[in-house]
Amino acid sequence: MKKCLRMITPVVIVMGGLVTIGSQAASVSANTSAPKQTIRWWVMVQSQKPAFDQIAKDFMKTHPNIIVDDELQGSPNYYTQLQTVIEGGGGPDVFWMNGPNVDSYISKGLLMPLNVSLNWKNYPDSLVRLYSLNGVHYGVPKDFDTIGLFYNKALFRTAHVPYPTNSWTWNTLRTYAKKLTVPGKQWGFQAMSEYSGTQQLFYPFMIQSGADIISHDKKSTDVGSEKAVKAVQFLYNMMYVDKSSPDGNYLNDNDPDQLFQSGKVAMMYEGDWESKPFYDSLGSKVGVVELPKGPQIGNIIHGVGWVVNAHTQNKDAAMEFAQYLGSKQAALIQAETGTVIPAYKGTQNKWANSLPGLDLQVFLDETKFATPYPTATNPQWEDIIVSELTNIWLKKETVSSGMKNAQQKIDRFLQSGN
Amino acid sequence: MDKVSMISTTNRTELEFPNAPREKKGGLRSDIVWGYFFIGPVCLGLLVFYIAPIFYSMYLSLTSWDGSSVIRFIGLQNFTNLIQDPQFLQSLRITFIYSIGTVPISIVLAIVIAVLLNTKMRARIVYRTIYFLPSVTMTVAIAVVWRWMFNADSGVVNYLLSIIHIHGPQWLTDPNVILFAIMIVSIWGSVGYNMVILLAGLQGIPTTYYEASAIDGAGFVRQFFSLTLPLLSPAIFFVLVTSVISSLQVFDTIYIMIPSNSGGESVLADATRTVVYSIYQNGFQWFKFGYASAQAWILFIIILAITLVQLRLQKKWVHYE
Repeated sequence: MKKCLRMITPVVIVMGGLVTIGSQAASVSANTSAPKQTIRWWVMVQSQKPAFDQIAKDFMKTHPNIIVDDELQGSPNYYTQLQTVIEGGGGPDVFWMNGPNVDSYISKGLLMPLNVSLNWKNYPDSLVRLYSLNGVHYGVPKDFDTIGLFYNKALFRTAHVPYPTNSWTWNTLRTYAKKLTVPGKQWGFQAMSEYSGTQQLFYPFMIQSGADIISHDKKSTDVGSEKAVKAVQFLYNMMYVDKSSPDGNYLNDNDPDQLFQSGKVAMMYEGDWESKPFYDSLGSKVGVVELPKGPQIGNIIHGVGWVVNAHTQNKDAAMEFAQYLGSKQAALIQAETGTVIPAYKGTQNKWANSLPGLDLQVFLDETKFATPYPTATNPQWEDIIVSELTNIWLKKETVSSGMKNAQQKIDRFLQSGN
Repeated sequence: MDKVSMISTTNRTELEFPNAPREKKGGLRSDIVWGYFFIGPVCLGLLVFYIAPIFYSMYLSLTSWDGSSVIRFIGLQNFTNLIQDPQFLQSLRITFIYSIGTVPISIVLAIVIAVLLNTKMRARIVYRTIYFLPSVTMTVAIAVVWRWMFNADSGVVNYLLSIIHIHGPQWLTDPNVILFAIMIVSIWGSVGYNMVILLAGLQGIPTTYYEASAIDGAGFVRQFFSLTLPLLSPAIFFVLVTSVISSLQVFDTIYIMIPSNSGGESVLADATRTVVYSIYQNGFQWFKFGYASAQAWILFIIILAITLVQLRLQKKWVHYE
C-alpha cells in the first residue's frame, strides 16, 4: 500500500499539468444567463468606475423596468476571458471593447449589430469606422485618445534650448534630442513608450512615413516596405548613432514612463491618458505639443467602444442602454472625471481645461489628421511586430531584415484566415 | 511511524465502539452508503475538475480548434506537426536545460543547509524561517524584486559584481543570459521548501546512530556521507521526484521575469520558452487549443517516463529502514 501511494503521488502531480488546459476549455460550456431585464455591463479601469456608477443610476431613473449591473473587470486577460464566456453563451450584455480586438470579435460573431438611433456625426469619424464593418455599426464610441510629444521643461531650460513647438519635424526632433543628451546621465528622447510603444511611437512614425501598416482589405501589411523601414531606421539611429535615446537593453530593463517622470529623458511620445500621471509627478515642468511631422503629417486615434453581446437575452434593454451610452449626457458625466476624452463632440472642453498649464487642446487638434488604429481580424499580428522590434533594438537583427521578417510573418498570418 | 499510528487507530475504534454491530448485514450496507456519501463530493470535484478535463484535453489534442469555430478532428496531425516544429523542439531543449541546471543545485544546497540547520546552533528557527520565506512569498512579488535587482544599470547584482571588478551582464535583456538569471531565481525560491522536507527527514534519524559512530571514531564528514545521506535518501528521493516534475512544468517564474512587452516571439521569448510556456502561448494567446493540448500530452508522457525511471532506479540508492 505504501509503495502504491509512492507511485500514485507523482502521477497525480503530473496530471495536474494537463488539467489547466482542459478545464479552461471545459468552462466554455458553463452557461450563465442573466435574468430578464437585468443588464450585465462589463466596464474597465478603476478610476472611471464612479462615472459608470453615475451613468447606470441616471439610466435606471428614466428606465425603471431595467436594472443595470455594472461590473468592474481588471484582468489583463480581459479579452481572452470575455471571448470564452460569450462563446459559452454567458457573459455581459453590454461591454467595453477596444480597437485591436473589435475585428476579431465581429468576425467570430460575438457582437450584435447595433439597432440604435444615434447621430454618428457626433463622434470622430475614425472612431465610428473603427467600430463598424461594411457600413454596419457594432460599437458606440465611448472615448478617444491621440498621441502627443511630451517634454520636460526643466531639462530644456538647463540645456538652454527653446521648447518644442507644433511646427517641429523629425529633423528638429533629432537635432534637439542630441542637444539635450548628457552622456551617461540624461537622454534627449526615448525610442520607446509604455506597453511596447506601438500605438504611441511606432505606428505614428510609420504612418507619417507614408505606410498604411494594415492594408484596406486587412489581408496584408507594409511594415517591411521602404517607408516603414525608414521610420524605424530613424528611431534606431537616434538610439545607436546619435545615442540620444537609451539603447534597447536599457529600454527593456526600465519602464519608459518612469524614465520620463524621473527626469532621465527630456522628450517622449505618449498618449493623452498619461497627461494626468505626468502632471501629477512633474507638475508645471511637463509640456506637450503636437507630434513632429515626417514626410507626412499624421497621428493614431484610438478609442474604447461600447458593444452588445450577440447572444444577449435582453436585446431591447441592451440596445436601449447602448443608445444611452452614446448620449451627450453620458459623455458629460465621463468628462467630469478628467481621465478620458469623451467621444461625443462638444463635451471635450471640460477635459481640455482640467490640468491648468498643460495644453491638452493639442490632443483634440490632433484628431483632424489622425488615422484609426490599424486593426485586423486577429490582434495577434501585433505581437509579431513587437517581437521583431525587440530583436532590432537588441541588435539581433538589422532594421530592414527585421521589418521584412515581420511583414512576411504577418502577411502569412493574415492570409491564412486566422 | 505508520505501524504505530495504525495500531493506535485500531485500538481507538475498539475502545470507542466496543460493541459496534459491525457484523449486522444492514449495518454494513448503510456504512457503505454513508461512506460513498462522504467521499462523493470529493470524487465529484475530482471528476469535474480533473478527470473530465484530462480526457477532454486528450480529445482536443486530436483536433484543430480555435476556441470559437467548429472543432475539427484531425487525428494525430498535431503530434506529427509537433515533432517537426523547431519552436517546440527548442522549448523541450530549454526545459531540460532548466531542469538540469536547477534541480541538482537546489537539492545539494537544500541538503547542506538542512544539515547545518539541524545542528544545535543559536537562532536556528530564525534561519529556518528565512530560508523558507521564498516558499510562502508570491511569485509575482519575488519576480518584481529580482527584476529590480537584475537591472543591468541600477541593480544590486551588477553593483556587487562591479565591486570585485566584474562587468555584469545584461541579465534580463541578453538572450544568452536571461535563462540563467531565471534559474538563479528558481533555485533561490525552491531551496527553502526542499530544506524543510529534508529537515523533517533528518529529525527522523535516531541520534543513537551518531553516538555509536562517534564512538567508532567517525568525524562529521564521515558521518555525513556514511550515515546522514543514506538515512536521508527517502526524503532526498521525494524531493528529487517532486523537484524534477515541477521544474519540467515551470511557467510562472518565466512568465513574469521576461521583460514585459518584449513580444511573444522575440529573441528573449525564444530563449526562455519552456514547454508549459509554449502550451500557454499556443492555447491562450494564439488560440490553438488542439496544438496546445497535444503539447501538454507530450509533456505528460515525458514526465511520466522520467518519473517511472526514477522509481525504478530508487532501489539502487534509496534506503528504507
